[in-house]
Amino acid sequence: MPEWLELELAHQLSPAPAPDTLWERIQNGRPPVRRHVPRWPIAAILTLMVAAATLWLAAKGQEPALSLEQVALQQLQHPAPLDLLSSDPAAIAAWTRRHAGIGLSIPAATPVRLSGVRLIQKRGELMAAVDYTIGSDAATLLVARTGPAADTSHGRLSWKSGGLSYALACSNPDHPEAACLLCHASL
Amino acid sequence: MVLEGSDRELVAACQRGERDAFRALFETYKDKVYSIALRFSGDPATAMDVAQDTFLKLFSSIRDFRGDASFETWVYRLVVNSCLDHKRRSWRLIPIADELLAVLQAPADSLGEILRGEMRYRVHSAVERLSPDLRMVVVLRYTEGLSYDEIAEVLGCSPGTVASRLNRAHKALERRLSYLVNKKGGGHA
Repeated sequence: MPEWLELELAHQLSPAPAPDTLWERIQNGRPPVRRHVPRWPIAAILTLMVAAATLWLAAKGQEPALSLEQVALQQLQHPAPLDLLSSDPAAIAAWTRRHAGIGLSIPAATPVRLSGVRLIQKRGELMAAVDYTIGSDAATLLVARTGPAADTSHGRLSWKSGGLSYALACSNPDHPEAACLLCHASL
Repeated sequence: MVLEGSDRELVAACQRGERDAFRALFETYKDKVYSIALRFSGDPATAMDVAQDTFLKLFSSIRDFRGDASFETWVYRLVVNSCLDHKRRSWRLIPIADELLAVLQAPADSLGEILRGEMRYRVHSAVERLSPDLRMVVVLRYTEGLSYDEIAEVLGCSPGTVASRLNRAHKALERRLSYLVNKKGGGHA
């Protein structure tokens, strides 16, 4: 082996000191055990199922149904122009009620910065997408009319209440709950 | 038991469950474990995961250490297995790009700085393109300075296999890096 390579390897691969935070990480305990299970059969089956479902829906002339959270994310990532540009919660609520019949309630003292609202048609329904920012993060609240007013449920980023379905999307993947600040002063 | 005096006492204390002994053992081996993980993975975040995993395994299984091999060899085996397990579980695509970005973004005071940065990036990339078996031999040899016999004991193979793997690794690295030496005139950056 040439001498330059020996020297270069010894130099570039020299020992490195462990960061001070390593001990804290060890004290914080073991991360979830990730067992080595071959994933390709599961991935292959899921891919086939999705492909079959897509083909079936395409044959029926429909686009695949997205969950409300997926639609909210889609609106956040590929936003169409807003129908109403406003940072006033009352103006956005009034406009949404007048144009979509959706009774939206946003606290007047919301700590987020509202951008406005747009109406979209998805799954044959009219929905309102309210865009806003929390610091440097962008977020969207999607509201759609749903079934009976008594139908209530609550997930992490979507819920049903008072005859409306809601879903949130946030550009911060580590802290999507920041989108909840629209209506909650603190998390 | 094939143990140095201080290691023997530390291991015995750990086997009795003495908390301070675990910390002392960690301080003794943290740089070795992290260095191997870092040089093998090429990524500080992955190295932290591997080092954490190694120490958690070490602490949880230290009662099983019977002293058939030296304690240091046992630690080396744990970190080698953690590195290879992690490699099997994940595909590493982004960190190489991160390193290149770091080289490009690093403040370079002179042409020499730029060349050293480029050489560092090229060497690390070339090492990371070696197969895990060859890469581990290179890391144990150049990061830890282990002899062929010591590497063979850690990896559970013969010294001849170690020599063969190192030879193949050297040839691959020489082929991938020789143009850099010609470019800068044969000196060491």
